[in-house]
Amino acid sequence: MNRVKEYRKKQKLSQFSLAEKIGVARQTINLIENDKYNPSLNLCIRIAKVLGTDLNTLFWEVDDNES
Amino acid sequence: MKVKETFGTKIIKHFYGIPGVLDEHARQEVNRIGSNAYLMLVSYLLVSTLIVLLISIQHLENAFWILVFSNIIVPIYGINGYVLVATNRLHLADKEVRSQNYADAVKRNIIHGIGRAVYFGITMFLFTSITNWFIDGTRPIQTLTSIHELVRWLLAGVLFGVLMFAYDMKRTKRIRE
Repeated sequence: MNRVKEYRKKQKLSQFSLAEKIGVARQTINLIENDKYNPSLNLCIRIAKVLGTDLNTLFWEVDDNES
Repeated sequence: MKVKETFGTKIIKHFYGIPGVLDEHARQEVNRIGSNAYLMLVSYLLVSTLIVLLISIQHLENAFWILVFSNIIVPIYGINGYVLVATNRLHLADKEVRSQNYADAVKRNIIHGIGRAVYFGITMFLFTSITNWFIDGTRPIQTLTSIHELVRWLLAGVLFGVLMFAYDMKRTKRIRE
């Protein structure tokens, strides 16, 4: 599970506002947050930039053992 | 972020009835729906041509009319119906607006409805005047000055506009933030 929703809420952004800032549809953000759509690398970078974080934080799954 | 749309993108959005952004997810789905529609259309062409070929051996005129009408009905109701259902199921055709902009969206839908009503009424009125000329020799000026035809296409235009408005309203979704 990615952490887009968590970071979006930290930034106090709605799905609609985030979608507008990135230039995609709100449904696309919803699908990404629910792991129902794998975004392109380009879109991942745009999301990370708007949410003020990096790709690893948003999309890299960390096992409990690793952390 | 505003991305400038190319003419090609505008055409795709128009054909698939996508009012919002044609982003990478929408484009992926549109490509999948388009491929399915293409497969259906080619299969239909192969099967219908074979059937019409067999019928034409004995009944050439009947075969011609069957082909003409099935070529109108299958793409419109079959292929377009599939595209419409598939895009609606994926919510690609939804018009999402913020709560505070909902009233403006309704106004836009009303204006679109009126525009479509006028367009449909006038186009069909002119089209009928030409088809009547070919079918029974009625001169276009006779059809265009007929009160009966005028009222008929006025009502048809109003009905079309109301249906389009209802469809637009169904697609308009209010987003609460």
